[in-house]
Parts: sequence; C-alpha cells; structure tokens
Amino acid sequence: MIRRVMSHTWILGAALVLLEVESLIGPLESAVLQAVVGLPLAFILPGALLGRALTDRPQGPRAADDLVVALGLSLSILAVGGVILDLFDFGLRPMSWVIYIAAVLAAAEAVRHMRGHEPNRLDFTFARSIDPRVPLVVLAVAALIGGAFAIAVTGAERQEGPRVTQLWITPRASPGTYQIGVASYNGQSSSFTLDLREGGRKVRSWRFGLSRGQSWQAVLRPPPGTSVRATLFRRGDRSPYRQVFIRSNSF
Amino acid sequence: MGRRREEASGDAFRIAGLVITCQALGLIAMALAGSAGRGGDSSWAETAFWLGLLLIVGPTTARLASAAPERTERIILALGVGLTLYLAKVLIWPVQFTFHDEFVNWRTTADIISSHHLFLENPLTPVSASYPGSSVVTAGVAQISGLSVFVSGLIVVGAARIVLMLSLYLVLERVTGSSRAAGLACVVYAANPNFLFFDAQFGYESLSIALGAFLVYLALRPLPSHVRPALPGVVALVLVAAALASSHHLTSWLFAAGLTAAVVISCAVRRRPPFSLPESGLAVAAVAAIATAGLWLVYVGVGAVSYVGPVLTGGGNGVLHLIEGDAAPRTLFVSAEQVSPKWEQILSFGSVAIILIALPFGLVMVWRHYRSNPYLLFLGGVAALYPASLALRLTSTSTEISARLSEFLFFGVAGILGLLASRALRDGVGQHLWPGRRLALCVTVAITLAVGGGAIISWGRWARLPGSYLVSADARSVEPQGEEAAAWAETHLGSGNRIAADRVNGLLMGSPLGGEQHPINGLADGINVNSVILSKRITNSDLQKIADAGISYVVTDARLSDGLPLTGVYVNRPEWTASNPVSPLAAAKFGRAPQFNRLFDSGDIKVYSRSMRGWP
Repeated sequence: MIRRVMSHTWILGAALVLLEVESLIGPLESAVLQAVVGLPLAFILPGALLGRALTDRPQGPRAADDLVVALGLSLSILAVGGVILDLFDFGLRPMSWVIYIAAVLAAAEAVRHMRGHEPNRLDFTFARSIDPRVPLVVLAVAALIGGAFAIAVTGAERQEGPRVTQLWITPRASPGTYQIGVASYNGQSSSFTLDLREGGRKVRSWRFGLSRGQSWQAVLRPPPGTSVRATLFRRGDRSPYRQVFIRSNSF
Repeated sequence: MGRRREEASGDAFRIAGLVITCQALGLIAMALAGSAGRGGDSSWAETAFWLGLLLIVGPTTARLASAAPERTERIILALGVGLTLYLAKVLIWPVQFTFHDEFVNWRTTADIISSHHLFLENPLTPVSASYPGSSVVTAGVAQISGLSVFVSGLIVVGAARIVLMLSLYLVLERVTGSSRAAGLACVVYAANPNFLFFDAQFGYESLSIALGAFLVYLALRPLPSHVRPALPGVVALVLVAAALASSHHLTSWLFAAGLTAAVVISCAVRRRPPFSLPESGLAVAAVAAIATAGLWLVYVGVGAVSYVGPVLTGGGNGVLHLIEGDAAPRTLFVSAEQVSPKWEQILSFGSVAIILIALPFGLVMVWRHYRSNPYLLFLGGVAALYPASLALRLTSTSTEISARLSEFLFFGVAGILGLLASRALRDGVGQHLWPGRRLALCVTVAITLAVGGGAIISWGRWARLPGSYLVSADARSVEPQGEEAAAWAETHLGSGNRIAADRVNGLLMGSPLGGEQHPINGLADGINVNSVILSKRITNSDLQKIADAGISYVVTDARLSDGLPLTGVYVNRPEWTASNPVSPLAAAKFGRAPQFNRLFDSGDIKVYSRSMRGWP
C-alpha cells in the first residue's frame, strides 16, 4: 500500500530531511554529511517533487525537462522561502530552512496524490541501456576538469603580489592605554627596530624578528595629553619604514 | 542496415566524446591562463585564454552545425558550452570573490546568515538589499549544506547557468521546431558580451536571468491536449515569477514587458483572447510577472527607481547631446589611456559586423516563412532592437545601458540567427559558392568569431585575467595588501564604522572581509567624499563634510597616484574626468594635518582616525 501510494522520491526526500536534522543537531554532527545531504535537499528534490505535482510532463524524452524543472523550481522555492521565513521572528536559520523544505516536500506529495498523478519511481533500468563507454568518458572528462581546478587553485594560492609589513596603534578598552602591533606578511624573515616617542621624546625601543605570518604586540600607557609616535625601521636601514601616531593622547 | 546504424552510432559517440574532451581541455587552458596572469606572464596568459575559448567553442559549434547529432547530444553540447564558459570564469578566479558586484552580494548574504533576516542596509549598493533573491538562495544553500558563502555562491550561479542554458534550448527548440537551430542558438547566445564574466559572477542578476528564461520555458511547455492549465500550473508560474521579482529589478521588469509583448503578438496572430491561446500559460506568466514585479517594487524595492532612473536619464541625455552635436562620441577600446591591440579591435568590430550582416537575412526569413509563428515574430522584434542598442555605446553615459541590455536582446539575436544558420545548412544555401561542408565551416567560424568578439567587448583587456595591481581596476586592484588591510580593520576597528575610502578599499572594507564597514558614498548616503580622498589639501569644507557625515576613519592608498582609474572613477560617480593621475599629496596630506591620527600603516595603505584637535 505504502509503495503504491508514496513516491520513491518523496521517501528519499524524507530520509534526507531526517539526515540533515541529524547532521545539524544530532550526535552524528558532520560537515561532510551535512554537505552531501544538504545539496540535493536544496537543489533537486523540492523542485523535482513540486514540479511533478504542479505540472504535467511533456511527451517524449524528458530528461532535460525534468532537470530544468527540478533545478529551476528548487531555486525559486529557496528564493520565495527566504521571504516567507523572514516574516517569522526566528527567520532564516538552518533548522527553519529544513522545516520549510520538509513542508514543501509534504505539500508536493499531497498535491500529486490529489491530482492522481503516478507516484515518482526511482527507476534505474535506464542504466542498462547506457553505452558502457559513457562512464569512461565521464571519468576522463571529470579527471581533466579536476586537473584544471588543481592548476587554478594552486596558482591562486601562490599568488604573486607585494606582501607587506603592517604597523598599527589602536586604543584599548581601558582608558589611556593603547595596543601597538607589527605584523609581517613578507616572504622571508625580517628584523625590525621599533622606536617609541611620547611628547616628542624617545622613551623606548624594541628589537625583534618576524617570519611570515608572525606578529608582535605591546601595550602602551602614555602620560595623559601627550602625543605618541611609533616608527618602525628595518634592521640596518635608517629611513622610517612604517609610522603611526596619536596627536594627543586624550586620557 | 543495423550494422551501418551501429557504425554511425559509434562514430557519433567518438565525435561527441572528442568535442566534450575539447571543452575540458579548454578549461585546463583557462586555468593556466589565470595562473600565468598571476605570475606576471601576461602574453602567455592571453594566449592560453584565447586557446581555451577556441577549444570550448569551436569544436562544439562545428558539431552542432552538423546534421548528424541526435537531440540528446545537441542538448549535452549546448549545456556543455554554457557550463564550461561559466567554469572558465571560476577557474580564472578560483579561491575568492573579486568582482565589484560579488563583494556587494557577499555582504548581503553574510548579513542574512548573521541576522537571520532580510533587507539589512547595504551601503555598497543599497538597492541590492531590496532584491535579495540571489543572496537568499545562497544563504539557504550555505545554511543547509554548511558550505562557505563562496562555495555556495559558485554552486548557485552554476545551477542558474544550467537552468538558463536548458531553458534557452528547450524554448527555442519548441519555437523553431528544430533541435539544430536551438543548439546553434545557444552558442550564439554565448556571444553576448555579458555571458563570459558579468552574468557568471556572484551577482544578483546572474540568478534572475536564469529564472526569467525558466519562467518562459514553463509558460510555453507543451501540455497534453486534455489538460487545462488549472491552479497547480498557475501556482508554479506565480512561484517562479515571484522568485524573479525578488531577484533583480531590471530583469523582472524586462521579462514582464517581454512576456506581455509576446502575448499581444500571439493574440494578434492567432486572433484569440490571451487565455484561450494554445500556450495559455503564457498569459498567466505575463500577468504573474507584472503583478509580482509591481508589488515588489511598490512594497520593497522602491529604491530601484532612484537607482535605475538616473542611469536611463543620463544615458538618454548623452545620446541627445551626441545627436545634436554637443558632445563627441566616446573613444572605443580605450580605458584610462590603455588601448586594446589592433587585432582585438578588428575582431570585436568583425563579430558585431557578422551579426549585423546576418540579422536582416534572419528577419526576412522570419517574415517570409514564419509569419504565423508569433514567438518567432517576437524574437525577431527583440533582435531588431540590437543594432539600435549599439549606438548607445557611443557615449560614456549610455554605454552602460547598452551593456546591460545585451543579455536580453541576445535572446532574440540567438533565436533568429540560430534558425537562419540551421535553415541555411539544411537547405544547402549557397551550395554553388560553398559546396560540401564549407557552409558548415563558415557557420562555425562566424559563430566562434562572434563569441570571441563578445569576450573582447565584455570588459577591458585589463579586466579579463588576473595580473599585477592596477589603479581602481576592480578585480585587478584586489590584492594582498588591500585584503590584509581590510582584515586588520575587521579585527581592530570592529564593524559598521563610517569610513571615507576610494572605490576598491571601500569595497574591501565594506565587505565581510573588512568587517562590513560603512563606506560613505553618494548612493547610500547622498554624500560625495571624493574631494576628501582626491584633493591635495584638506579644506575646512572637507573637515565639515567628515564631521557632518559622521566619518570615523579615512583610508588612503598612495597607489592611486600611479595612474588613471581603469573603471573611470577613483572613488564614486560623479567624479571629474581626470586627464592626469591624482596627486601623491592627496594621500600624504593626512599625515601632516593635526586633525588626524594615523592608526595603521602598511606602506601604501594608511588608516586615519579623527584626533581631538582642530575640528570645526
């Protein structure tokens, strides 16, 4: 009875909803599971079921029509769904999306049943008619595309462009104190001297080395009403490399 | 007979496999182009780019021009060319958003995810928050799948591209009655200048144009004769129309107008009222599109009028001035003194010429043989607007209108030229001039050149591939120093601070990368801070402007004085048209002014806060 009444795709959708809930809040929290389950739940099933319920399939070959309806309606369901969810206080959250999609799947199955359409069957008999060379071609093309992505991502992550050193000074939450910091993004290790002047008078100097991605920080407590100026020099170079200043310490 | 069929089927499989392999090899070339561009080898990068484009488009077009492929193969190849051209853009910029509209959309999406609600202010482009369809879908995918906004955005735009190409193919196949015409039309559509980059970016128009095409497909879907378009069918059309209306202002308006025009033509040709047409879904779709677009405009997107209006009026005035002789035509192929090479100019003129020469033949063909087909009449009417749209490229104020219209007008151009090519090949037109397969070769070369020309017209040469830093050049200005400065702002300044900055640093710091600061600009705030950033001295007027606008931080970039802005502005329009780069004093002035503290120094980029002294 259940097999006659319910679509295979609806059963699949219900299973994915449960898995999605599991991945969000259950003990089996898993980013991979969430992605694997979430993508068809977002992109394919709502549109496929709603399309089957609301429209009538054209005569003749239908794969392209089925795909465009599944994707197109899924995108529309998400776009409109966001506006609907925005009306509620809880808004657009992972769980509210899942509940919304589950509601769409249930409504689609109910409409399909009321219209007397045949239940969707997951029919894999078409696989027997596929040329055995097709999977080989698909694999070969997928390998080429994967190679293209590997080239692109590797190239982008080795992006050329000047990597610089930053010097900054910012007020801290505690009045009258400042955070001073240096961050190095240069390709090689660098040695620095940082001179601190308060009210025009040199009060302190630090020497340190930084490798790429490293940073150095210190806390300053200058006298109230004085100016603060920090100048960064590269070791062996007398010209200022970076400079920051506070005109008048207000505290 | 059975054996010959098997052999033919085997040949078809081999050839189709070869064509698809060429598309994949084209993607490898595109990936190499992006890497070479980043590495500073621009000549090899450009060679790889054009080789990639040729591999993707050439063999596919040749195969689609042939009479041999079955329908399934044509669909796969047409979808393949659209999808691979999308993946080409992804491979050139594979790890982050880099285009202007992508940063805008990223901010809206991040706001939806963090606040769980829509319509938060987006100062980067305020109207985009009122049309959040693309951001909503991406936020939904990100929240359901757990993937990052970047990956989710790529997937959403990829899915939209699939919907666009399939809808285009299926609609044109139905309208022309020819799968060959539909396949060729899909490649001709790829010649529209916005196909390769603008409509492939994570922007709010990329989804909307796919939804518009899908709405047309649903409206024209053939139904069994005993079925009436009852409520369920209407619900589907209203759902898609509503999604379209929430996604992009101009696209929803143009599709509403187009559907209405198609209904009017169909009623006139078939002498029937709208809801008695054989494709009764068309009238429903038109009503749904008008109603949803109108309701959205009135209740949510009213800001779109003040956003789009000035562009239209400015463009119109520009054309009038040109006609009256009060203004000279815009110099084509020149951006901030960067001139496109001669061969690119020739190719782009050539691609336009191919379309302009073929179009009259296509329109005559429609009038002679398809006068009873209202949809071809409609497509012919749309295609006929294309030559007029080219005139808009002659002024700087109207070129934007021409650019944004192209993806809509090309629905008509593609349909008409795809059908023309298909008929010519089927009927052996010009066999005495081009015997055998030469006509197919001519069609292949013409369409491939048109796609190449479209890629040149799309964006300036400097914008197509990554490379060294260029001044105010959007993707070519997004580089590590700016990104690291934005990341510093996010960490050390918090979010939502009102800042004055140039176009690119404002974009970076206004995005989630920079903590979603609020760069002050004319669009969001009605305040022009160009003089604050660009003038050589700080005036009392500038100080008053900073105080009145509540600006907490000023961001300067010494590199602005290295050249003219490639996008035409350093900060925001309106901006004076610079003939010389901005003075180095513009960035340096804040270092001497007693009104400013310097909080951040990374060499070229500095961030200043307001000191306690010297304010009016």
